[in-house]
Amino acid sequence: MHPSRKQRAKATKQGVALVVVLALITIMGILIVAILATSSSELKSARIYSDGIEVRQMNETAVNLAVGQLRLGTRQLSDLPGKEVWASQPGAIRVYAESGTFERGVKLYSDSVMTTISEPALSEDIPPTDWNSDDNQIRYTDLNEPVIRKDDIFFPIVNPAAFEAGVNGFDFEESAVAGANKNGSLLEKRLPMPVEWLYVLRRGEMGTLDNNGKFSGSVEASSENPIVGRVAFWTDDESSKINVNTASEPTFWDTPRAINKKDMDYGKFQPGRNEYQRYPGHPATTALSPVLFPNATDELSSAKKEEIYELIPRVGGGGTTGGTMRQLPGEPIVTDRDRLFASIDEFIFQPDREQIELINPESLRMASFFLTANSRSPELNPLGKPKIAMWPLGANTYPRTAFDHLIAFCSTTGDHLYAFQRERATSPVSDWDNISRNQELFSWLVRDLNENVPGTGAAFSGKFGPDLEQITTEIFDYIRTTNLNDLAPIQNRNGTTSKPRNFAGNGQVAPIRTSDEHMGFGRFFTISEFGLHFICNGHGGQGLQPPGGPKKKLKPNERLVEAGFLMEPFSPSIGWPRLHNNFTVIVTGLDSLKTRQVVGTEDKQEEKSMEFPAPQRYRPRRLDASWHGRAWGGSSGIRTFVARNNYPLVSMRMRIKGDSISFSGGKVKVEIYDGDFSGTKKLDPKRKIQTIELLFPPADFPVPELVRKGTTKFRGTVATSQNFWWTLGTRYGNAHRTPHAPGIEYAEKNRRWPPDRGGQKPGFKTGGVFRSEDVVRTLVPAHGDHRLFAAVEEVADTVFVPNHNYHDKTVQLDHTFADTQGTHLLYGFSNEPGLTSKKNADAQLTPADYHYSRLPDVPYGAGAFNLYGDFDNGVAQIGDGAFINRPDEGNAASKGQYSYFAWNYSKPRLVNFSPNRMIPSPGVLGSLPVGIKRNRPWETLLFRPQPGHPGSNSPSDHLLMEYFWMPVVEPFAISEPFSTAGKINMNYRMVPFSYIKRSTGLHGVLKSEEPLAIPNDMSKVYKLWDHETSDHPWLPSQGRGNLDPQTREDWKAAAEGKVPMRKRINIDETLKQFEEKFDSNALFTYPSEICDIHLVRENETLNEYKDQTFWAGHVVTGDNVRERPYANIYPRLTTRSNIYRIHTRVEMIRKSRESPPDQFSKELDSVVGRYRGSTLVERYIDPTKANQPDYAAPGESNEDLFDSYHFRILESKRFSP
Amino acid sequence: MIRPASIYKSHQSPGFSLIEVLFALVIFSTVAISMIAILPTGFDNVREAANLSVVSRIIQTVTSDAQSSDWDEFADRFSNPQKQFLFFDDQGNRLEKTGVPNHIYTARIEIVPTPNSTAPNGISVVLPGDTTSKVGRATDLRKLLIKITTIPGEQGIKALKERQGKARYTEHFAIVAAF
Repeated sequence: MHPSRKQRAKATKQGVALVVVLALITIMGILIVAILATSSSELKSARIYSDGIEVRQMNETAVNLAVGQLRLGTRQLSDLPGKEVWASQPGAIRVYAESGTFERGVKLYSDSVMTTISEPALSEDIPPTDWNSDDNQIRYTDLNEPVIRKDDIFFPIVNPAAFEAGVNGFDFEESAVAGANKNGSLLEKRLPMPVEWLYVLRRGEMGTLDNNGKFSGSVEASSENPIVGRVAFWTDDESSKINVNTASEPTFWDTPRAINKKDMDYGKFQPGRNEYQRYPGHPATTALSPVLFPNATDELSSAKKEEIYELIPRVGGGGTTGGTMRQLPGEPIVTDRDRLFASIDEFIFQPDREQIELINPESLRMASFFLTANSRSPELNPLGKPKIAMWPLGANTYPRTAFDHLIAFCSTTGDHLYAFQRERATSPVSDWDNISRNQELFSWLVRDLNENVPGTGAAFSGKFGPDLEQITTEIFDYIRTTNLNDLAPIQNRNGTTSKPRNFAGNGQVAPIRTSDEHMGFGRFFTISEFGLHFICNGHGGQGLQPPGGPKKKLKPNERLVEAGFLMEPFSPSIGWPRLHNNFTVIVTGLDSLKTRQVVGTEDKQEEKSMEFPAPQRYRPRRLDASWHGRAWGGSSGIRTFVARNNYPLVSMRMRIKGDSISFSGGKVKVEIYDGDFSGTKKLDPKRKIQTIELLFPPADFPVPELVRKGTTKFRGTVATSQNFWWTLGTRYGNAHRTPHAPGIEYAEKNRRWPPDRGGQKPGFKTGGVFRSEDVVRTLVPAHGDHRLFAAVEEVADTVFVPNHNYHDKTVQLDHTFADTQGTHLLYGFSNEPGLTSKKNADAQLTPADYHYSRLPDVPYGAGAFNLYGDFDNGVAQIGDGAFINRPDEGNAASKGQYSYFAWNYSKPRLVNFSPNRMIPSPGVLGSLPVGIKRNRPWETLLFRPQPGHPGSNSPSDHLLMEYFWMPVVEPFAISEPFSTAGKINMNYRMVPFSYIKRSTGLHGVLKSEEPLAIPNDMSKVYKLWDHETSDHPWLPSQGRGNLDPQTREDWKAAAEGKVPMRKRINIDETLKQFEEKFDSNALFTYPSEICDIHLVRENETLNEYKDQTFWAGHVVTGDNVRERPYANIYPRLTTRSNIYRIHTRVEMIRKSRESPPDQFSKELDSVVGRYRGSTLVERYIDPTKANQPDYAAPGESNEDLFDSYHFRILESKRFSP
Repeated sequence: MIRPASIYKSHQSPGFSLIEVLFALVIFSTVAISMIAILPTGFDNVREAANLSVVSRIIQTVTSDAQSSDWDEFADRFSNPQKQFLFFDDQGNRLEKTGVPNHIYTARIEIVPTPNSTAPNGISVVLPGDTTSKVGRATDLRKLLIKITTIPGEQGIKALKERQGKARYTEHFAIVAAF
């Protein structure tokens, strides 16, 4: 029976409730599962997020540890006496106490001893060779462990393939560390950089694992405070790398100093405006080729250089195209306006995102260990105060150029300017009296130099004693006298520009006076030699009687003699712009000079006044306004001084009996005034520069003979008859004409010039002043170092002494009057003929065999005083002497196509002007004398290595450079207040990875220099030019110059480049000295210590320099030439970095319950988070910070900026290739 | 006679039996209670996830503040127990003051002194090897202990002040350098 409909309905409704409930439960279940699933996945992701934050936090811990160490290493310790000095190297900072003893070594890498008090312990710290053994694996980690992706390999720090690629200065010892592989395949190469793990506990305490693998720290690890992570880091010093924003590729240039092909080309192809890669000492002269063209051992071709210029922002190609052509005024280098690279990763792309050809991803990865986009170094003096700029700025209302404004910006903190200012060149007191800031800076500098130089335990005041203020004055005046003819337009406050303004249009600057006792050099003339010139006006024996009848008639043994008082102006500031003198001398006391004369008609002799005029003012005409006159300073001879001007300092004619003049001697005073005070013009005592007291000792002089022969025409001058030579009036009046031309009066044939084109012979000529019949006696400074009195206001009568043969009656002419153009233009120059170094090594300045026309203007015997070679080589053809290495303001003269060498001068145009071309660094101060007060001739600031030189006594002279700087303002503000970009750290030795050598940065710096050394066998020709050689080329067919075939041969060899006087630096040989220093566990503390390093050149050895034999073979190489490479290198070096890259490796650890809390078990514990990367940090000073004290103010003298540094993170990059 | 349809139908559908209902109720309550019992776990997860995120954010805020603050001002402020507290809303945003309805999280920042120093201006972090000489003291590093409670409002401050058991707050550290 089938159930009824009712029954069926009832049956279907039974259990519905259950179904509904089940359905509800199912839905609920689904919902709850969904909620649970969602929440747990949310929790999971939150945990991942949190772990990510934690691992980053842990990475920040590593970074902060490194920053803490950087701070520790760079701060002053209050409980130590004096100030400390620090130096950085990749991986560490070393601190030295004021006394120089090692204070602490602060490690910038994770280690079980983060700071050490033992310098050897720091230097010799190195990871164990078996750092990766089973036991050591939990203690050490390789920060440079690569990641391999398919066929490519990525290293976080350094790709060892860079060695095989030939990157200059890069190497590593395979055997020093397990796992290193130098020559394997691309994927096999390894360069482990192991450091210790720092294990971190939950509450933040840190420690390392000991040999037993147990945590060792300030607290013990426990289950409440277990290990939660570990960090490892190593800090690289960015200043050990080459900066791609500032470096480019150099083409060396220097002011020409000697005859050789390179110097001649320097004259011909001067760097043009914006050709920064040729400005001496500019950061753009640091080479990138050690990295970009690693295998290039020679100088790069122009084409390759252009490739680099194309790549680098703000550096342009073209110009002189590597010094091979003249840059035309209308075609200045147009530099790009590309923005700077923010990081090295951008280096691969042009600003328009086009990939460049020179770099590909692989080479960029390889280069990243050697290049940086961010490197800066501090610019504070050793006491932590601002440095003083090497550039003069206009004071008060004196207008400034755009360059001036930038330099002023770099030299200002708060409202305080740290640069000397100027406004008046014609006064020795105005820029001191009227610019109080100059006084403040000067006094501050002197105060600072009285303090011990940190790291040396000695002060300059102890070393220089009474000369300290004098040297400071010289430096102040050197800076004040820089850039006399400014070529840059004035930048007005309203934004408009106006024409450039000359500080000293005539090139003359009155020396500054900072006190009654201290005076600078300015650019001025002193008098370097005083003489009496006797000629015969009448001769009884030879029948030349004076007019006046029988009363005046001379007896046969009587002569009429006339005397002239001669003075030779000298300026130690040789060079350009032209020095057009404007000074007046007042000579007093000449009327007191007497000789024994025949009086009256009787044959009676008595001591009688020579009847020179009473106090007499004399203002010479322009000293170059004569035949062969030159306006470059130096020795200016006497010809132009006396010429054309009715020279008043002439005696009356004396009647002398017998064969000698009995001279009584006497005192003479010579005062020198800036400006024209001739005639009866009212004297301005404020413009008095110098007073020189002279004491002529009594002596018997030979009596002059009567000139009996006239002279012939020669090169444009007229012939003279004998009577032309019988009065000083005619001689002096014509002294501007063609001077003496060496001829048959010299026994040595090679000394003689050939006849001129008209066949006229050389010899005594119209403008020669002297004849061999004359008698000349002079007073000279015995040492010949004219700098020693040029900066003295009151020169005592002991300074000038009789010349070598003053008392020798057999010698007629005894003088060292030398024309600017040469010593051969005035007959009888003391050392020629016959008195050269050939007979006495000390006769001349050096024992070299100089050419007769280019003898240094020093008295006989000066060589005995020249103990250290502290003389200067003149520019191009200008002879050597006591000069102060005036900055090169340029010379565009192109006679013979060789600027600088040509006799004439053309003012350079703006196309050749730049402050940074003119002054590379304070290294240019190296020719300033240090012994003016202590009477120590031929001793100047020592900015080069020379054992035994007083300048090397502590504190070394070169440390003086550390108180000054030349801000780099082109092509962009490479310098900022307190820092400069792109400097290379001298301390390239890495800790703890001393098995890795990276001297690439120094290769980049040293590659730019070509030091000059003049071999002794070139001493005869290295200055020959002008009429000796008829300018280049030396063409005998033109009938000029010296006939000595050997001299001509030697000259040609030099001019054609066959005798290399300039050579590139042998970098490996030079760097041996660095390695020696590092191996002795020491570092360079100041960049000026480069001056202690011999710059060994190609094909030379370090030993030659160390045993001094090299310089003994190059004695005519002047102090300024030897120091010039240091002046160029110094500003590109540092020993302290402001920017560091911290390479980190971080892991978060979750401890297993089964492993002890104070140990790490590879098997049981798990690593839950990993991070590898690098962070770039910069220490900096905010120059705009309010309330900056005035460090120059007397009350603030103890303030410094050491603790004003802040840190900022420039870049943080995760290593995840 | 026609009956009203509704009466007829109601008579035809007598509904669930008591047993049936009871049975269903028993099943439902058993299952539902057990299900509801596991819900808090889910909610805890959600809360924990939220807390983790917010706490991470708070730590970041605190450390970056510490990093960017003036070194001495920061030390002065957080060495004063009254000024060690920072307040946050449910998103981890910093609040100027407590006493507002959205004050959820509270953080207490302490600068940890080492036993032999007079922190906050003294030594806060002892680096490996710093046992023999004063020269290695990391005077420019500071360890911050950051305690964060999720107890909202004044109660949270109280919990941190009374330094009650860890269950009431979480503890974190950060090492900051003087920037």
